Amino acid sequence: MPQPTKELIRALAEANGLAIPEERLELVLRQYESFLRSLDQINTLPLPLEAEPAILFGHPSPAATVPGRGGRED
Amino acid sequence: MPTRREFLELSGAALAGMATSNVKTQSPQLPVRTISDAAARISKKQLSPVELTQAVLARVDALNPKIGAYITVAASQAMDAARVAEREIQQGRYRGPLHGIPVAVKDTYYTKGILTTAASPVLKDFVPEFDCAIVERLKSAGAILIGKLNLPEFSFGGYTPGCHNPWDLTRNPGGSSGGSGAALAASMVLGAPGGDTSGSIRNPASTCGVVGLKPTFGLVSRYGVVPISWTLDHLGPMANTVEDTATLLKVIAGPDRRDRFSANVTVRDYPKLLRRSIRGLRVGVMAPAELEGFHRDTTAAFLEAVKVLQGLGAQTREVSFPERMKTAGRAQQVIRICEAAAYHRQFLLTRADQYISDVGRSGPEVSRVRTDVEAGSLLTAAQYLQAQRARALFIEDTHKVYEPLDVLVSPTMPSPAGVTVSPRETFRNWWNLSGFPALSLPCGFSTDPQGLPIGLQVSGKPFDDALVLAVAHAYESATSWHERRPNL
Repeated sequence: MPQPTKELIRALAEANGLAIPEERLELVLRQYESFLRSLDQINTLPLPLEAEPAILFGHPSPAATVPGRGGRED
Repeated sequence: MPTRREFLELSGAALAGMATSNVKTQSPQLPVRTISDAAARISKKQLSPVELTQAVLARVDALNPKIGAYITVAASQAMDAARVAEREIQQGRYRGPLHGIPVAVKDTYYTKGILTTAASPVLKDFVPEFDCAIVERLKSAGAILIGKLNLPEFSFGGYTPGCHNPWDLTRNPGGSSGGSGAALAASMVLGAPGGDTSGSIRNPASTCGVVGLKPTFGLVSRYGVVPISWTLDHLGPMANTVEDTATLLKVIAGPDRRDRFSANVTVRDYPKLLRRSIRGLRVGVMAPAELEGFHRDTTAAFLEAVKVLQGLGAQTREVSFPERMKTAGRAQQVIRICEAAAYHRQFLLTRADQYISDVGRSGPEVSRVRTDVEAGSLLTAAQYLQAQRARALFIEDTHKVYEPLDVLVSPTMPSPAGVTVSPRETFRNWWNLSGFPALSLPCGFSTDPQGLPIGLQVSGKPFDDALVLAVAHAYESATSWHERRPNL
């Protein structure tokens, strides 16, 4: 992947409707690079084809560990 | 763009509604140290909620100039509520163990009619029209809201600028619920729910020598709280003892349709369930190799804590985490910032120049919120989803780790407050990714530097919060670390 630049940051920001002032571009670039490094590490994981995102994750059978549901023990 | 100091001065936030010049050399003492002590006396009409609230306000008045735990003190509202509580109790209408008890909440919690800034100039004038779910429940239980507690801007980070650790005022209380930890340690309040996205309840609990629980994801409603990350944020109780933590949890837990992730589970009688034997419980112990790079006092205190648990009859076994879980922190970072960027877009578009500036500044006290959310805004949906797919694997791994265990113990923080170390891993954000409950309680004090608190983390399976609390209570009952208080 090509090295990100301040120009890329400016272009991505504009495409997202954001205006990042010139004096902030270097800071944002460095942070963006940090996120890309994290993503590189995530991409080394052998994700099974069927792995689904955990956005709406729940815990298995909470009712099995907690007697009753939705009330209060007093 | 304002600096943080300018923001705090401009907002007039510190000690709003109170005289700030009344700094006493001898701090006024509270008549009680814990919620349970106070509740026992209030219920018998031996202690007046009005007197207790006045005592807390006097102590806040005396100590906040040097601790910086509170952003806003709602003195007049607190006194009004205390008078109502007193009248109710006098009339025989005692509501329970939080009736008349002074509490304070992190300044991300919406509080009707009270400034809610999230420690950011972006929200410097924000006065919510309603209470968040936790404050609603605390008020229904008769608790007295003293004020709003300090944090890093928008809860970003483990350092709370302008706040000082009561054990050593030259050090920070950690974060992001740093004001909550500091206020409890300094006895400037008796209960202080906080927020935890990457360890932000457990970090200051450990660093300030108090108790903090990040409950199971979904157990406590997050409705009406300024978020960082919708799928990582947890809210939970902080207090000076495990029993007080359990008492708070019983009140604030429970289903809430206004929180999309709220779980429909029964709220257990957590205080009642504390008193059980841990004999024969299967306690996982973080393997020594996982503690590489930890401060030696932290490791020593942890190993001593394990011996205490063994002495109580726990069956311990060493646990190592699967190798791929060591990427969990990376997934947490990407998920957190993508969700935060979505929330902050409204502010980036309309008032970006109001964030605390980080241009030309460095150091832990410098807020980097604007930079983080600007950079996070440039990541793609596919990248976010890839991190969430990885998270699903970590959750699966975490279930496997806990399968042969009842609870798992580890040090909460790799070192005492402000001591720099280079750990291979830390043990906090895994529990945010997985949603499993995790609690920190005091397990010792450092010798070099002298006298800083060290925390033990007890974690468990989803919705086994009662067991986590019970194990912590058994340990606390066998030790006296929680009885120490800083000399202020």
